Amino acid sequence: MSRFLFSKPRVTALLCPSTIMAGPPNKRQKREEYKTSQREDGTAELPKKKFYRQRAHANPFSDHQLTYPISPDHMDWAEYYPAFISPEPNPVSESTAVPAAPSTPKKLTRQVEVADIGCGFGGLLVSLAPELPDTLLLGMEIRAQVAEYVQERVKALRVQNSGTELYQNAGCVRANTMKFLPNFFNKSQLSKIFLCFPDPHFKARKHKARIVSTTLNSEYAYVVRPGGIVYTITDVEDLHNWMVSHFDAHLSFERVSEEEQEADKCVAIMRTETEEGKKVERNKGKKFVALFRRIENPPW
Amino acid sequence: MSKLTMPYQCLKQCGNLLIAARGSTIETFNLESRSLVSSWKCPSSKPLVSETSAQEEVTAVESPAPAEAAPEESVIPPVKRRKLSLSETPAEENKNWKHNNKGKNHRQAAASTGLDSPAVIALAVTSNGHHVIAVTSEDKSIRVFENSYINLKHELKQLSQRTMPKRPCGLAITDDSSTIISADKFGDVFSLPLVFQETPIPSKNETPVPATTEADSVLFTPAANHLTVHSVRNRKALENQKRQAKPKPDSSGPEFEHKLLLGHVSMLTDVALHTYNGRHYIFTADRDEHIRISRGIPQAHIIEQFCLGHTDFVSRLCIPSTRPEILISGGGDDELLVWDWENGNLLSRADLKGHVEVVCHEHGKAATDGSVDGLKIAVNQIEWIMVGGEDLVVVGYEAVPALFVFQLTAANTLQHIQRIQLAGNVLSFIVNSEGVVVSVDTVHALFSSSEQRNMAEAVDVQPLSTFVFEDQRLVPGPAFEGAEQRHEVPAEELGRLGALLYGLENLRKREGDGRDED
Ligand SMILES: C[S@@+](CC[C@H](N)C(=O)[O-])C[C@H]1O[C@@H](n2cnc3c(N)ncnc32)[C@H](O)[C@@H]1O
Repeated sequence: MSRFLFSKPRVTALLCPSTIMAGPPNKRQKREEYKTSQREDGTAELPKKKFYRQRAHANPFSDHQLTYPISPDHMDWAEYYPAFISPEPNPVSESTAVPAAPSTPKKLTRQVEVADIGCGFGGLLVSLAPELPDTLLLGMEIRAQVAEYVQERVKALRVQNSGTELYQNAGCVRANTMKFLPNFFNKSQLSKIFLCFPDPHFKARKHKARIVSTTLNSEYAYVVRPGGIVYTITDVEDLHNWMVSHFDAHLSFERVSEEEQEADKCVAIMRTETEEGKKVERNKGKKFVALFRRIENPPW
Repeated sequence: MSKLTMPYQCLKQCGNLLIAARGSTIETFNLESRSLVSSWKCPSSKPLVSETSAQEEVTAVESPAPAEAAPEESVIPPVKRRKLSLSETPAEENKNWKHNNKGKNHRQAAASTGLDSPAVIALAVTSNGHHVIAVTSEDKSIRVFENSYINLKHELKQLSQRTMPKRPCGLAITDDSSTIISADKFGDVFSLPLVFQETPIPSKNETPVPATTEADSVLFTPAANHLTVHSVRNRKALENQKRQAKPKPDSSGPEFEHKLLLGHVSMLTDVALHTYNGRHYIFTADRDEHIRISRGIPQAHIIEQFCLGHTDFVSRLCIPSTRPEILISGGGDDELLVWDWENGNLLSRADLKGHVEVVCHEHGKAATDGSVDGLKIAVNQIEWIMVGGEDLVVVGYEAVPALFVFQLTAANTLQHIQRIQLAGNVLSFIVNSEGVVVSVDTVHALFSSSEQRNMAEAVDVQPLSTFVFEDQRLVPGPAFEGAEQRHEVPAEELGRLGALLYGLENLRKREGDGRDED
């Protein structure tokens, strides 16, 4: 079970039955029974998607019953990447004026560097993890059920590959990144962000819900270090144009050349391994890819 | 009908003037003579209050009965009103306004109170003292006034009125008095020139919105086709989009120069501008516990830092001029936080709740339903002042009849040194090296944002109180003249007035609020 240092004792959605998709009680019960057994076994069996389905859209503007760390320093990453817990004891808090947090989270030997925002069922995450074995990857997904599915998926893959380091570097949190990205990551912490097949929100009235906007791009620029890359892919041409024009217009980003883009192994994986990407493949649809490099801030 | 004296919801100092917003009016006092020098009243916004449409609206919204049967004296209970103003979308805002003006009798009654017109919800002044800037609520307008003197007689002369896309809730003016920074409830921060230019200039954006976004709503083409849409829901959305009529072109924004500087996906609560080591910064605070520090214009798209440590909404930011390297913040938490904002490091915390509890006990009030844990406090103002070589910080809390004075120590901690009891809940105050002018609630019961106070005991309560510093301690000062003039509030207006005076507690997230719709 995932655990943060709560910003306050809000019930985590994963524990709160009222937040689970309303369905016939016996269906919900089955789902709960299934999940309990899934958790207890430490099973190598991959989770079944049908027990984790959830309505397609979660409103990014509402409060939900979200838990999120007060700040990146309050985040307990050890739960997500137990193989990377630092053997050294925690250093004593520098600022003595402030009473230390109730329990200082265990330190990891490295920080999360890659975020898959709106990771869905985690296809990209689990394909990318073995390719970037020295890097910690984090899937972020607003839908509680779907995030839980990815957590179980990673756990099962770790069991299947026990004895190896495989999948130890992958994790997933439930998070509304449109509001709380800076609660998880410090300035310049990330080297890559993936925005794969984001919800298109066709109607102009709903454009504010798009995961790419002039103002949100400033937050991506904050968490991505200079030289880092934001990857985007979509099958909706209008959304592609939207993302390109908004990143192009943002002074902290520049478009990565097509040549460099095609040479990046992450691009090939992004094209084929996300769940949405596979659907598009089956329907022989088009995929639009664009990469943007975070450039240095100008002097001021 | 009991007569209630209209209180002041917002005070600002501009040179030797006190600018005081009272419902839909702005009164100006001379701070030296403590006398009223001028008064401006917001005109009622005609298009929204046309007799028939207001009536019809009532019928449509409230009951299926014919218009004549609409109960004229019916008033939305305060509780409901507060809810409405919390969750309002722009559409609801208009509705609220119509509600507020429903019924002829009701509106006539309101006319005598200054609440028949849009209320002033925020004030700012330029550092050169030439201008006063006000936000009026229902018409979402930013109004710029000039302090003008005709034959030595002061007048607030309105120079411009600009209607913003969303209701502004925070205002700041750049040091050079050239630019207004406006933060709104939907999380966006805009800049607009103080001086309004007649010629419509297309909006430019600091984090520029590419041309296509504007074009989107005008040149309508379906955003995708069946070949490019694969999931069932996307296909559905596309179908809907095709069925939809051409979108109305009213989304193109206001026709005056304004730039989008930055945005939060949250409700903004405060904005502050700061200059440090020759660099300009914009500080923004939101309902989701964030304090963001961005570069100033023209690099406002660059976020320099976040100060994260609040566990409830942030409502006020304060940067002491003598210590430009620190930030004091407060909100729905039980503590004030002091920050090394440049590095996002928390320097100290100061307990607030304990001091408020003392006030509760002094008033014989068991803190909220007997349980001290149930006491919720929300900071409504934090002001710094240097007096006799000491840095003092004065703090007010929503619906608490007291002011609290802290000393900012050399170690950047806040030490409580004085508590000032007030005759009513604190609404707003100004602090200068002479002392404090504070607006107290003449209408609501102590500790309450909705209950009317017992008028027998409130007869002598003045809407403005003054305190002066004597050896760094505040002692009662002389009264203001003219402030007690009765702008009366009919009891039915209590609900709307409550919403105007008290909004912070609504920012608190409630258990079960925004529950997953999934
Ligand atoms: C169309 S799916 C794509 C999933 C995956 N990236 C893929 O390509 O298969 C978009 C996902 O983004 C998630 N999402 C939308 N808004 C989000 C937000 N504000 N924070 C986190 N996830 C969000 C949705 O719940 C959904 O699972």
